[in-house]
Formats: sequence, C-alpha cells, structure tokens
Amino acid sequence: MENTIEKNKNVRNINRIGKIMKIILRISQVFMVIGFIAVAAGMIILMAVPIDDIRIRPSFHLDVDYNTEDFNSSSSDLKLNNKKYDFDIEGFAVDLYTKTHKIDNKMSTLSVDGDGEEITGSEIRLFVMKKLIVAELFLAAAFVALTFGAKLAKALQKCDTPFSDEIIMRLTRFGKSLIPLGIISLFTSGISTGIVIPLLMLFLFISLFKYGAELQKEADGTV
Amino acid sequence: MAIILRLDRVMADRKMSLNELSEQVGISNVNLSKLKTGKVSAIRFSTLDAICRTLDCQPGDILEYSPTDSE
Repeated sequence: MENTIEKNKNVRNINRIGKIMKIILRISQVFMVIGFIAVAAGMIILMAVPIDDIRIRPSFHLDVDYNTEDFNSSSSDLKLNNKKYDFDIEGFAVDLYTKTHKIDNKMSTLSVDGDGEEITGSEIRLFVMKKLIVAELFLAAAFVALTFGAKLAKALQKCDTPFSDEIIMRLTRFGKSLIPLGIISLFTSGISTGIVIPLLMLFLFISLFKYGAELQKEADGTV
Repeated sequence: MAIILRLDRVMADRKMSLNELSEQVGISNVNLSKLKTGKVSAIRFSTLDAICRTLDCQPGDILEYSPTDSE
C-alpha cells in the first residue's frame, strides 16, 4: 500500500492560481472571438456600403478669449496673428489659420480656422480597412497567445511541482506565442518598453524554471 | 556508480518487509523501493539514520563501495 503524500502548501497555491488563470483566459478567448467576428462584420459592411461618391471637406472654427496681461506684459497680443500651420494627421493634410484681435484694453480673441484636405469615400474605406485589418491580426495573435496561456494554466492547475518538463514546455510555448503580438505592437506603436521588458522578463523566468527543474531532478533523486 | 546498496540483504536478515520498514523510517514505499534497487542519486543522513536505527545496523552494512563493479 502506497503512502499518500500531501502536496506542499505552495504547490497547492500554484494549482489554485492556475485554475483561476485558466478560467480568466478562457473567458478572454470568448471576448477575442466576439471581437474578431465583430471586426470581420465591420469589414464586410464597409466593403458593401456605397461610399465611393462621398466627398468630405472637414473644417472648423473656434474663438478663444484671453486676458492679454496673463500672457504677455510687453505686448497686447499673443504672437499668433495671421499665422498658418500645416499638419499631417494619419496621412490627411490639415491647415490651421490663426488671427487675433482686441476686444478691449485687457481682453483679446484668438480665432482659429481649420481646413482639411478633401477626403473621398474610397480613401475613408481604405483608411478604416487598414485599421480593421491590423485589429484582426492583433485579435488573432492574442487568441493564439491566450490558447497557449490557458494550456499553461491547466498544467499549473494539475502539477505536483512547477519545475517539471511539462510546465517549462508550456511556458516556453506561451512566451513564443507572445512574439507576434510584440511585432504587431512594434509596427503600430513603435518600439516600446511596455512590450520589450515583459517579454525579456518572461524569457528570464523560463531560464529560471529550467534551472529549477534541474534542481528538482536532483532533489527527486534524493531519499 | 561504485556505491552499492545492500538494503535488501539487511532487510532479509531482520525479516522486515518493505511496508513495515517504510512506515518506521517515514519515507514512502516508492522511495524505499528505489533505494533498495539502487535507483537513487543521493541519500540524506536523516534517512540513513532512521534506517540504521530501525534495522539495528551500521551504515557500512547497507552501503558498499565496489569500484570494479562500476566498470
């Protein structure tokens, strides 16, 4: 008759956390699928809607009243009178014109007029489609990463020791599944420490777990 | 490895079964079986102490160094 060995308290905690992680990741996967379907539907609708003949000429006007003494003691106006500024917002040109005029000895008004270049329906469709395609790729990559994450969580839920070959394999696969997400983020928002540092830390932990597994094997061989 | 475990011999001399010894020593049958068949890489002094106390023997009765057997 074999003696039953009670699990170490920390291993029981790991099992519990693994179970919670698995549930959260599975729920997140459902939201990813819903998001993926919604974006795909959006893309289909966008392709179907007849917007090619639409022309949009964005423009705006705003007036800002200000106290001249608050801004400049030597001059009665902000140095923004009759200035023109050119901007590029996501590939669309916007011109800003500023003009100032006095209301009284203390108050002046800054008027800003903005004109954007004419945008056609096709350009809008192309712009939105690009964003939706990136979103679909991100959701797909996130779903794959969550799948590997859920498998890791399931292994942690059932493990007798976190330093086993199975846990290390699942952790390594999860780490590798995050790389596509990192690449997509790199292209959409540039190099960011918000992605590089967590990925580096994950691979550091993988190396730590591999060392832990070696120590575990030595400990298992000791009676 | 040149270290050979003679635990089975001492157990037979004392007429003690694996289950009985594992209960008295405080390690599992599985680990004791591994010890008996030499499938362990290390033994703690505390385990050796418990085995020798239970079987009323010396460590040398259980552990034997035989370099020619390791070739």
